[in-house]
Amino acid sequence: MGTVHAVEANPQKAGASVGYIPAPSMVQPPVAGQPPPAQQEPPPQKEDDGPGTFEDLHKACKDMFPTPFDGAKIMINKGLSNHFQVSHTFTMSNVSPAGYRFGCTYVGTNQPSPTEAYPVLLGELSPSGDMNANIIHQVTQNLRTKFVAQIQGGKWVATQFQNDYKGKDYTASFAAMNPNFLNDSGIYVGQYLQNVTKSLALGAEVFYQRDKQLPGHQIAVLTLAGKYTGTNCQAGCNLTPGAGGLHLSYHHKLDKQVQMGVELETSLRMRESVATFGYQVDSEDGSTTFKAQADTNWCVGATLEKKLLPMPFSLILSGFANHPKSSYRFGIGFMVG
Amino acid sequence: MPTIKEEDADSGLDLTGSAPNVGSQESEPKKDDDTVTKSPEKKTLARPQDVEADDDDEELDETLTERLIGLTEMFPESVRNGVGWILENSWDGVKSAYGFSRKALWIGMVTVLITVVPAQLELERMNMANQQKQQERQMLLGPHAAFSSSNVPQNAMPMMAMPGGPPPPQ
Repeated sequence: MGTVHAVEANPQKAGASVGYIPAPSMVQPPVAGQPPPAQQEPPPQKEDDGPGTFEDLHKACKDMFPTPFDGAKIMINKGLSNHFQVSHTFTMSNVSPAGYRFGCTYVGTNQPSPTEAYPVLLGELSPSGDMNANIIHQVTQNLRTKFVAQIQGGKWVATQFQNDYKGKDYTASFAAMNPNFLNDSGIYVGQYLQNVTKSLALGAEVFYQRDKQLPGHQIAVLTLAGKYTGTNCQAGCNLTPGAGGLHLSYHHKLDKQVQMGVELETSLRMRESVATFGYQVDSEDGSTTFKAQADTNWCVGATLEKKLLPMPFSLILSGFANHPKSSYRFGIGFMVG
Repeated sequence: MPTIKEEDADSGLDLTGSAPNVGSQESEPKKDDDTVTKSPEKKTLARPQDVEADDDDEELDETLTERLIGLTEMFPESVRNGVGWILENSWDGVKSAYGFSRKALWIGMVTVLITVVPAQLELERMNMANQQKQQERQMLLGPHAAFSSSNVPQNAMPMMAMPGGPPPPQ
């Protein structure tokens, strides 16, 4: 089985959606989520795969940016069998909550393609009782379901139930977050993305929230999206006219080893706008990856990840500087397995 | 008696601005012109003579700096103001330029150190290590070995660790 390692939840930045509970994007299924090819045909070309999900619009760019951390992080992954893997994470840091986390991953037996397997069950648990759990399953060939539950401090913080349906050239999703029929509250999101031409995809998202505290007990936000895929580049755009939000991203693959990207996030409602520029350099044999980013808040950060072959060790060095606040944070991580 | 005292009490300095008794001898021919412009001239002409006798006090009171500053009165006010502004602000300008260049250099240096330097150093080190391996292989096994396996990641033990020496070329 490919190494599936649990990563701490990365909260999304304050985007266009109002009150959007960040979906803990813990572990990806063993392969970046491409839909399975049709039954027994040879793997289709990229255009036939559809535009990808709505959330993956800016994924190419976001994956390229480093995730700096502070302090030391030691992760030990151990595969107990072909299907089951366990991880122990020790985080020693001044800034983020330090502690030990236990993670386990179970990968099921259903294999629609050689590189993917379903269902995938992920869990991360800390001794104080905080838990993150994901269940990802491919119910039918076109429909993928994901269920996320999060418990913190002994209380349910978030539950999310998401369905993605991948058609021939479109993707439709529906997600429900914290649905609570007793309190009549919850967040419901519907997304649709359609391949208009081979390289251009357009779509929209409707975000609907019911809550007693909102004026009128409900709020709905519409977001328009577009994605353009070129030969080596990909541009994505999210526009929220209601909240004055704009999220643009551009990703360019210069050659096999170097990729660069720019991302702009603007929210007129929050009155903030940040542009981030980043690049990623891979070494020839793929053992070293260097990611760097700089943004208009005068923050710079970088991550160097080095696989120490022949042993299954990885060393991660990260540095982050926030110039206006004069705060410099450096982290070192070590992964076994 | 009181008149003599009054006369003695008179210091002789004319503070009213009109021609005194002392200067009356020179001023007589000029009394014909009674224009306003002439009277200041009269005064200035009268003054050096006037002041000579009483000048000792005034010379000591004026310092060199005051005299030099007094010389600037020959320039018009705008020139004086402009030059003063330039001198005052040039020193402030130099100080703030130095402070700005410090900040800018620090920010630039930290950014380059974090985002560029580790990648460059690491890639250079890997390239050198690869080159060295190629050279060693070339030396030990002949030139063909270097071309055939130049970019294969080395998972096996490095050549140098083999105790019996390198295998003979086949």
